[in-house]
This record gives sequence, C-alpha cells and structure tokens, in this order.
Amino acid sequence: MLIELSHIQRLYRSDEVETTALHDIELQIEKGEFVAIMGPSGCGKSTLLNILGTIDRPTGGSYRFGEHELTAMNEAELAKFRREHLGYVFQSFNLIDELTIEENIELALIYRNMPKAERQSRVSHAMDHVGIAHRARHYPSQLSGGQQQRAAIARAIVGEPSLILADEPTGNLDTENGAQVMDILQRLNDEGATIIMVTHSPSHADLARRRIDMLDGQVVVSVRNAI
Amino acid sequence: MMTMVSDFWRLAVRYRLYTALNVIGLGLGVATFLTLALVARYELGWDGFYQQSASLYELQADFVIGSGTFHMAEVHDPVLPAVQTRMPGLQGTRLEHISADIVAPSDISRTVHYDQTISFVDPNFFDLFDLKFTAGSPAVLSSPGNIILSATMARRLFGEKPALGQTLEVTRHGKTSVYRVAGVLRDHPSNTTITTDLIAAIPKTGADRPCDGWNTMCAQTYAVLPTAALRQSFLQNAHDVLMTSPLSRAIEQKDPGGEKMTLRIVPLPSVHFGSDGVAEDGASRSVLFALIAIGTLSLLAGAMNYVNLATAQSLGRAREVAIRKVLGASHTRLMIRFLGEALVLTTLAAMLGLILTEIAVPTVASLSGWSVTLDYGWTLPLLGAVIVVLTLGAGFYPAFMLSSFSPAPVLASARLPAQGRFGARIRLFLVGIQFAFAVTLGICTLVVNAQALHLRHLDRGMTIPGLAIIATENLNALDRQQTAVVNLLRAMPDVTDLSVSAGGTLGRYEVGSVHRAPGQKAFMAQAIAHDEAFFRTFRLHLLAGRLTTSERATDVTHTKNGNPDALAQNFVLSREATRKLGFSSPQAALGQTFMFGDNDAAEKRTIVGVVEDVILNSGQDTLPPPIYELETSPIEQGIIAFRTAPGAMPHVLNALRKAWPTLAPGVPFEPQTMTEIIAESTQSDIARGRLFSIGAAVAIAIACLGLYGLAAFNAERRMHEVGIRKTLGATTAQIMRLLLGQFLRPVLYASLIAWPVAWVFMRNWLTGFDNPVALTPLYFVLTTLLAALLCALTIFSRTFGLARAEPARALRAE
Ligand SMILES: Nc1ncnc2c1ncn2[C@@H]1O[C@H](COP(=O)(O)OP(=O)(O)OP(=O)(O)O)[C@@H](O)[C@H]1O
Ligand SMILES: [Mg+2]
Repeated sequence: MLIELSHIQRLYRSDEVETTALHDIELQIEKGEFVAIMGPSGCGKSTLLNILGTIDRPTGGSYRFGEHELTAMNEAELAKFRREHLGYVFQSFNLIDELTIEENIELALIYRNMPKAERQSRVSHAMDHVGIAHRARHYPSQLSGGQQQRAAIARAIVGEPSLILADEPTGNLDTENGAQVMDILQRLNDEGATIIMVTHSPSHADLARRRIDMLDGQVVVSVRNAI
Repeated sequence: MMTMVSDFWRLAVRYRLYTALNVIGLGLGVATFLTLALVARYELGWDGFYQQSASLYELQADFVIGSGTFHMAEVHDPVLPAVQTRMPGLQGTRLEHISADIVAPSDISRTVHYDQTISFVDPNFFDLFDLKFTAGSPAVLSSPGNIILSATMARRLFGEKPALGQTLEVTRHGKTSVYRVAGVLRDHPSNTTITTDLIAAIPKTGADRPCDGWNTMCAQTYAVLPTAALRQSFLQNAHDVLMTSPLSRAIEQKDPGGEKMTLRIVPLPSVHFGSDGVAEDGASRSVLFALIAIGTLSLLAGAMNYVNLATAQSLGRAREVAIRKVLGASHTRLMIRFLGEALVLTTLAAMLGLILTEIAVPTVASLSGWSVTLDYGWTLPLLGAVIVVLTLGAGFYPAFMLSSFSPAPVLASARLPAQGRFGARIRLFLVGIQFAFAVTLGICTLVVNAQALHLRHLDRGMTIPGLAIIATENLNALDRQQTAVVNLLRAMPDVTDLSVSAGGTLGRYEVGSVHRAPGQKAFMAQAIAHDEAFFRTFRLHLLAGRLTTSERATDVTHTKNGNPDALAQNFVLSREATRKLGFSSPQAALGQTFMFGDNDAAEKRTIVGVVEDVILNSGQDTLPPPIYELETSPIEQGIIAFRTAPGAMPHVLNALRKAWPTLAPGVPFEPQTMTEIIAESTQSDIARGRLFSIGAAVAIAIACLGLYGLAAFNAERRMHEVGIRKTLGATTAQIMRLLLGQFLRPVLYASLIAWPVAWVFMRNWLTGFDNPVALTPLYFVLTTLLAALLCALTIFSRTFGLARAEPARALRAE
C-alpha cells in the first residue's frame, strides 16, 4: 500500500465559526493507481489533496506514505519528503511570474542539490514530454492557459515523483487543451506514476482507474472503473 | 480639498503600516533637517546682526615663535590710532578686555562678583556695533567714570531696581575704582564675538588702562572697510605702523630664534570660524558643514523612504487605478489626485517633524552649547518650502508611476503586478543609499565616541584620582592666607602629599625660549617652578634619570627678595621637551645640556630626569612643553596641589570648606579635583559624540523604517511565490535565505560606499588631536555587521511568519 489515511480530520477555526472540512477520512491508495476525486463545491476535495500533498496539516488522524508516518514529521522533513516524492499541478497553474518557463520547471530540482548539467537535461526532457520546449525562454504571462498548464505539469514530473497530485488541472482550460492534459496524465500513469486528481468533469473522471465521491467532508463512494 | 483629505484618511486606514512608516520616516528626516538648519542659521549668522557687519573687519596677527605659530585676535593698542592718522576719516574702534571683581555698594550683603569681564572701548564703539539702549545713549561713553551694562548684567547686579545712576566698585590688582551706571543695553542675540556685559571708555591714563602700549597685544581692533582698495591700504598702513614701531626688529625676524609677526584682516562674520584661540568660541567650519550635510541627507533619506514605500504601495493600488481609468479618469486628473495625497502625507510628516524639532532643539542646545532656539517666524516658512519640495520631488515619481498603469494587463492579471525588475531595482538602490548614509554616520559615531573614551582613559602622565588643586591667585594676602591654607591641609592626616608650584596650565607658567645649542632653532617651553613635593604629589611618571632634590645645591633655584640668588643648573624635562630638543629617547637626553633663555641671555642647563607628558586638555590645542625648575623659596600666584588617602577627598574638602571663611575671608572657595578638570576638558568631545550618536540613530532608524516597509511589501507580493516554492520542497531556512539575501545585498554594497567616505572624514578629524585613536578596520566592520544584523532582524520580523506558514495558506491567499 502506498497511501493509508485513517481518521483524517481537518477543522478550520476562524474567530467564532468552526468548519469541519474533512470528517474522519479513511482511504487507501495503491502504487500505480490513477484516482479521480469528485464532489460538489466546498465538500473538501482541495483540502484532502493538500493534506495528501503535505502542504496542509490534518487536525487529527494518521497519514502513512509507504513506510513514513507523515503526521509525525517536522517542517524540514516534510519539505524533504515533498521534493523527493511529490509533484503538484494546480487549477491556476501557479507558475512564478518573474521566472521563465525553463526556470519555473528547474525550480522543482533546485532544492535537491542536483548538478546543473543533470538539472538541465531533465528540464529539457520534461519540456519535450509535454510539448512546451519551444517556449522555454518565455515568461508565463506570454503563454496561453493550456501552455501554462503543460509547463506546470512538466514542473510536476521533472523530479520523477512517485505521486502526482492534480487539483482541477483542466478547470481553467477549454475542451481541447483539457483533453491534451488528460492525455499526458494518462501517459504518466501508464509509465508507472501514481496520480490523484480532483475534477468536476465526469468524462475526465472516467479516464481514471478509480473514482472517489465526496460529500460534506466525507468519502461516500469509491468505485473502480471498468477498463 | 475636504474630499481629498477624507479620501486620504480612508487610504491611510487601509494602508496603516505604509502610512505610519512613511510619516514617521519623513517626520524624522524633517526634524533632523529643521534642527540642523536652525543650528546652521545660528552659526552662520554669527555677528551678522550689526548694520555694518558686511563691511566690518578685524585686524589679526599671526605670530611665529620658534617652530610654533600663534594666532592672535588682538593687536597692540597703539596700532589703530597710528593707522588713523595715516588714513584720516577711517572708521575704526578698539575693544580691550580686563577681568575684575565687582561690588554694587547698594547691595547690603556686598556680594563680590568675581572675574567679570569689562570691555573698554573707543567712544565711537556704538557707531560700528549698533547695540540698542533701553536707558542712556552711546554719548555717555565720552565721560570717563561712566559704565554701560547689558540688561542681563543690570538684572544680576541690581535685580528689579533701576540700574541707571547706581555706582559700581571695580577692583583689579587690589585697586578699586568707582563707576557710575550711565546706560543699559537691550539684550541682543548671543551669537556674537563681542562681549558687552560691562562697557566703559578706554581710560587715557592711569592704573585701569588695560593695555600696555607696545608691550602687550590686547586690543581687538575693528575697522569699516567697504572696498577692496580700502582694505588693501588699511593692511599696508597697519604694517607700516608696525615697521616704524619698537617692534620692527622682531617683525622682520632679524633675531635668530626670534619671533615673526604678520597681519591680516578677517571679515567680522568669519571671525567666529577662526582657528582655536582666535575667538573664544572658535567654531570649526568643517563641523558646521558636516552638520548641514547630515541635515540635508536625513531629509533626503526620508524622501527616499517615501518614494520607496509609495511606489511599492502603488502596486497594490494598480487595480484601483485601472478601474478609475476604465471609468474615464484622465492621466492628468490621476496625477493631481496622487500628488494631492502626497501633499497631505508630507504635511502630516512635517507637523510630526515640527513636534520632534520642538523636543530636539533644547536637547541639542544643551549638548552642544549652541544657544539655538526654535524661531517659528523663520522655521515655518522653511517648513512650508520643505513641504512643497517634498511633495513635488518625492511625490512626483510615485504619482507618475501610479497614474501610468495601463488598465488591460492589470485587470487581466490575478496578482499584484510585479512592476518589472526596473522598479524593484530602483527601490533596492534607494535603500542602498539610505544605508550608505546610515553606515557612514554609524562609523563616524563609533570613532568619535571611541576618541572621547580614549581621551577619558588616556594616560595623562600622572595619577588622577585623589588629587585636587587650589588656585592661589585670589589669596592676595599671600604670606598669611596661602600659608594658612597650606598649614591646615598639612595638619590633616588624610592629606598624604602637598605641593605648591606655579602649576603650568593649571595655574601659571612662564614661557621661556629653549634651544639645544647656540645658533640652533629655538622653541617655547613652559618653565614651571615647583617645590620639592611636586613630583610626589602629582605622581608624575619618571621615564629616565632622577628627580631634582633640595639636597643638591645645583638642582635648586633660590630667590631672595624676589631676585634670583642662585639658579638651578639641573632640570627635569617633559618627554615632549626632550623630543623637541631633538633627543631620540628620554635616556638619550640624560646628562645632556640645553640652552635656556632669550638668545643673548641664554644659559646652559643640564637634563637630569625626564617625566611623562602631562595631558590636561582634550589634546586639540598644542601648548608649549613643560620644563621643571625646583625652587626652595615660596612660590606665588600658582597652585596648591594635594593628594589624599583613597576615598578621603570629600571629607578633606568638607573640612577645608568649613575652615575657609576664617582662613581666607572674602575669597571664593574653589578647589577642583583633577578628576573634575579632566572631565571638563573632555566634555565637548563627549557632547559631540552624543550628537553624532543621535544623528546616526535617526539615520539608521529612517533606513530601517524604509526597509521594514519594503520587506512588508515584498512579503505580501512574494507570498504566493513562497507558497509555490515550499510546495516544491523548499524549507523555511531556504526561503528565509532567499528573502534576506535580496535585502542584505544592498546593505553590503552600501558599506562599500560608506567605508572610504567615513575613512576620509575620520582621518581628517583625528589629525586635530595630539592623541588620536587608531583608525582600525574594527569600526568599519563592526558598523557594517551591526547594520546587517539590524537589517536582517527588520526583514526577519516581517517575513518569518510567511516563510513558516503552511504552503496551502499562502497559495490560497490571492
Ligand atoms: N483556510 C480556510 N479557512 C476556513 N475554512 C476553509 C479554509 N479552507 C477551506 N475551508 C472550508 O473548507 C471546506 C472545504 O473547502 P475545499 O477548498 O476543500 O473545497 P473544494 O471541495 O475543493 O471546493 P471546490 O470544488 O469549490 O474547489 C469549505 O467549506 C471551505 O469553506
Ligand atoms: Mg477545490
């Protein structure tokens, strides 16, 4: 088992109101799976994905990743975990405006103490993979949404992570660009990457091997797609 | 206008931090500028309020004796009348000071006012120096026996009673004359070199005559010289007068080792800036210019802060501008609007600055001795000008930038516009300049304070604690009063040593010419007559040889009835005296001879001992080096020095105070401990150190305020980026390094500018001291480290929270 969540809970406390974004989540994900998470707006999908990506901490429960117990790790250990195991794709791309596409992608390797030459070959390989190499020297603001998202995917995969998390990766894209992104994700999954993706599109969810439906902070159904 | 203010208020509340930092930074800059402008006005306005100031000149003399040059603000008393006979119609006047004790007979308690300065002047004095009278008129100077008082002096002597018509008893050298108060002057500004508390006409004859013809240089001599031709002819005539005077031989330096005198004229407003010793308040122009520079740069630093924060803040307002433009606002209207905001903000800052100035001026006045006051009639127009210049100068660029945002890209982008690398560079550049200024001042502050500390702990050639002196010049009944005081002290068990000596700079000394061998260059030395207990009492540090003793006849000068009977052949010299004689070390001087006395009358003396130099002043003026002559006969008009057992000084002084009225009735009780004397001499250096410290603190505060604002702005702008970097696996430490590095770099570059500038300033300043501290790299490195540390703390306090936060929070915060 790659991922095991048990009794995961996330409370938000702001002034007087207390929101329970996640209730007692139980979830297991195998290595090599492609999971789609669906559910109405505000049901906790992003919160769950953030916790899986360790960029948010649960207020209760345990999160095992392989042999690591992540809830027991400190800040620095989590940062190390992220740079070694995770790739992230966001709905709003989250590229840094001041850096070129190439530099944005390289950023995922910079914190790893990797020699410059290896970084460069990996970056160009990743750019080829998503078909963005001809835009290497451009700034994000000079690219279309689809191109930006492909660059963001290149950044997510350049470190060869064991888990790719994608929060509505096609949410800001038109149908054609969306399909292209889904194509890339499927190909990555075929090559062995574990992928967890949040989406509002049933057709994109159908491309995954398994679908999880959420409601009010809880997992309600988990079905395997017949492929 | 009202809507502008209320709009501003809404903005100020919304951008609380920026507004506060801006107003405080600019307010500090304005306060520093105003305070130093007031100081500059005071210093530059010195002697400027007389109607004839612009054409008044003072005749001064440069006097070369041996290897030293002395500047004299006074010349011989007969010079002016002689020049006036050569130049009929020349307007000139003399001012001659004496010091005397004054009693007002109408005062029942007959309080003696000791050591008052009386100015004797020519009858036409008030034609040149138009001081106003509250009673009497300039004409009273024509009758001898009349005296004119300043309002302050009149109040001091007679209280609220009318002074006019009262009499004064003036006692000098034991002789008393009676004067009648015939005029009272209105108080005038204190920044003048003319002392005018008590004014009388120069007596034609008699004991009161302050000057002794061609024998003393004691007449401050002024002339009205409006044209260059007049000045030229005045100087030439003054020179000719001297050449036909009994002094002509000396002036031409016909005597080897003799003195040489040259004359010059100095415009009245510049007299104040003369070298030390010329005018009592001899201020230094370079200190004044340094202060003006600091004031201007502080204002500039505040303005830079404004530009920085305003441009940074304006990025946050890009959306507002874009929407206003879409709704049809023109570039010009937006410009006016933003300049209006700048006006309100600078006005606020100016008001804060005025309040701070109100606090700073008395502090600076008491620290520096400048009697500066906050004159609103002069300050407010200046403040108005500052507001206008700041609004246009500092407000223009941000307003222009803000009103130039083009709406489409701003509205299309989700985030704050980065405003390109150019704007960011400009901001870092301005921060760099602010820090260059702050670091320069910081280094100067360290050095100035180190020098003050150095002077305080300097080896002064003697043991300071437990030593006190009493001047004997007021003990006029010498044999009885001086002996009574000495006997009382000797009888006290706590007094371990007691000496009576001429005292050198502490009391009096005779200047004598000294040279190594006949025909060689001579220099002036202070010949200090002392008794046998002198070295023991002062604990002068013996460097080589032995001290003189009454047991050897050749060590002692003996006087009988005021005439030398036998002269000491052996002398103890100060280290400096042996150095000036050309000996390489104290040891080398032992047993050697030197010539003592004026050329034709010089006699050979032998050096038997060398003692360490005694340093009493702060070291900024050079006095003749001492040579010590042992005398067995009583020494008059010098000092009584005594040393007490540790800790016993207060007790001894108390006992002495109680006995004093019977020992020396009517004589003021004024013993001084050596600790006090030293403290007094270093006071002005310490005060200057404090002033610099305040200046540096303000400069650094302004720079840090600016940096804090930038760091805050930067944190806000980079929040999202930090979230992304952390998601990609950056640790908190890596993020902190990124954010700190961005700002620390300009501080380090700033040091590269500050170091050489501060080095040049401080090296120049230190050359004025006999005992300068070494200008080591320590001060430079320390200041830079300190600035970097402060800078890091400033940034840290603003960005650590951001760097630590969960990345999810940062990513959400768009
Ligand atoms: N930082 C926060 N503070 C307070 N409440 C929060 C915070 N983040 C999320 N929530 C709340 O938690 C719940 C889940 O939010 P989440 O972003 O996970 O929803 P989502 O399923 O991703 O919705 P969407 O499909 O619209 O993206 C919501 O009710 C939201 O208001
Ligand atoms: Mg979401």
